[in-house]
Amino acid sequence: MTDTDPGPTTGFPLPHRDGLGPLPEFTALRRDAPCARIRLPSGDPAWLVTRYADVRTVLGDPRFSRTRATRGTGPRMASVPTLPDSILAADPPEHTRLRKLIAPAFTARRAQAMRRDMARLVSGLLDALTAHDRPADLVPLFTRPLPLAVICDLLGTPRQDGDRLDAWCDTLRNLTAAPDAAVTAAVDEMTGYLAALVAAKRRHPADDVVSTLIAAHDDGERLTQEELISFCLVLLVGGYGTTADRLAGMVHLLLDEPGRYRRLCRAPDTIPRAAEELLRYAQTNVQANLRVATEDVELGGVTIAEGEAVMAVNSSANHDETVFEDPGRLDLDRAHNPHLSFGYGVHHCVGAQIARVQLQEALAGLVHRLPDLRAAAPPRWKTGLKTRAPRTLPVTW
Amino acid sequence: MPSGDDPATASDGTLRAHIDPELCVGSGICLATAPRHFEPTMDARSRARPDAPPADDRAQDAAALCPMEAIHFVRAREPTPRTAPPEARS
Ligand code: HEM
Ligand code: SF4
Repeated sequence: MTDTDPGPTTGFPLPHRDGLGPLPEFTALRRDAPCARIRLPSGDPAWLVTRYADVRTVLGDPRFSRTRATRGTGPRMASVPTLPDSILAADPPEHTRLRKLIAPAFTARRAQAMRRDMARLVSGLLDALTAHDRPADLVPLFTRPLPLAVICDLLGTPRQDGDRLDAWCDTLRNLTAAPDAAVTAAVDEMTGYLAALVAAKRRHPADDVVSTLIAAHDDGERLTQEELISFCLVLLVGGYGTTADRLAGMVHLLLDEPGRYRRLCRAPDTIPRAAEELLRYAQTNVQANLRVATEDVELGGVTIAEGEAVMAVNSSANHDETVFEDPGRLDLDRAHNPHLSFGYGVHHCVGAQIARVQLQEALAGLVHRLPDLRAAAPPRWKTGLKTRAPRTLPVTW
Repeated sequence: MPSGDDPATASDGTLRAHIDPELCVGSGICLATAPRHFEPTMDARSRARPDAPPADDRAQDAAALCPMEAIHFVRAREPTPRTAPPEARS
């Protein structure tokens, strides 16, 4: 029991809205109820945290545990367990052991070294696109195949399984669109697929991340088989689905107001800064991975009791009026931009540096090759997922 | 005068972590991995705690996880005080 009145329960999930603009529900919560009571799809209660400083505390403070939100008993997002062996479910020091295995492959330096290859991939996809009939859908022709090729090359997995991976990724990030049984089935299928892949790789190791992880498993006690499979799964889902959705969303935001796209065509050297602002502005995540408090914590005017679940939403933090000037404005020149789109703390996106280079090269390729690119029709949107993203992106040039 | 923080001139002493502010992107990985060694700055980056204990395995882990390779260790002349402030946890 706490002596603070949590107020009435806020509706959750938020009502779906097409687009990526700031959601009025988050704006109101930041103002009126920065730690709000919600009920999760599982029926369990949780706190929805929406202000920048509080979101950073939840993500960066060891008193909030991912392990307790994924293993044993306690409040859950949904009734199906999701990947209790993965890096995203581990707390330090276990998390540290797992992350150290892959950290060397994901430094900014390594990502920069991949830039040329990524530019070549972009160029190849744009060759095919420009040979395509107009209008064309940029999602299957560009925003999906690019991150798929990048992550497959990095992990050392075959590129041709994209359609299957795509369906699995969407199901795994499902919030309301698929029944729990479908999520469990997707995890099972993907686990089977990856186990076969690991077996094949074990016979033919190469200079890639999956081979590195297999070596860590085979060399001794540094990685269990379950951890190995979960690791591959999280890397695939994170590296592919998330990046594909983000890229599609960025291109949509640029074409939605053609002046933005023209600006990047005129000044392609501003793309890195523009990409950060697009990452900040787009309220892609309408929810977040749960954490559970390991002791009582004061946050946003309430006491979060030990054992209670917390959902800290980075896309709301990115629009916090006390941190970002005029946050509702998409300002491609924004200088002070400490956005949390890649998270914060130990789980800060391991692929952030690779994602950045990839997004920059994708935008650079588009403005260079297709300066007349424009929307041919409004996109259709994915619905019922933890993230918002265009399902289609009809364009012409 | 030689300074205790200067790796070129430092003599024997304890190892202390140092974050290059030019490289740090404020991921928060280090301070969440080794909270007794690192803390946030006002400009959304991280830095070594002035009152950090001598670098240990946790601090080394944080350095290994930094995606910007921004964390280095220098020999301090004076051992740093062992007492951490009340909000420090590890
Ligand atoms: C624009 C693209 C991307 C965005 C916006 C993004 C966002 C995020 C966020 C917010 C988290 C933290 C989740 C949490 O704390 O609950 C995360 C973690 C993660 N991401 Fe990404 N990501 C992107 C691309 C990638 C790529 C390209 C990869 C792989 C190559 C990747 C792999 C991962 C992994 C493995 C984690 C878990 C890290 C850990 O638990 O230590 N992501 N990502
Ligand atoms: S891990 Fe590296 S980049 Fe991240 S906050 Fe620490 S020093 Fe900065």
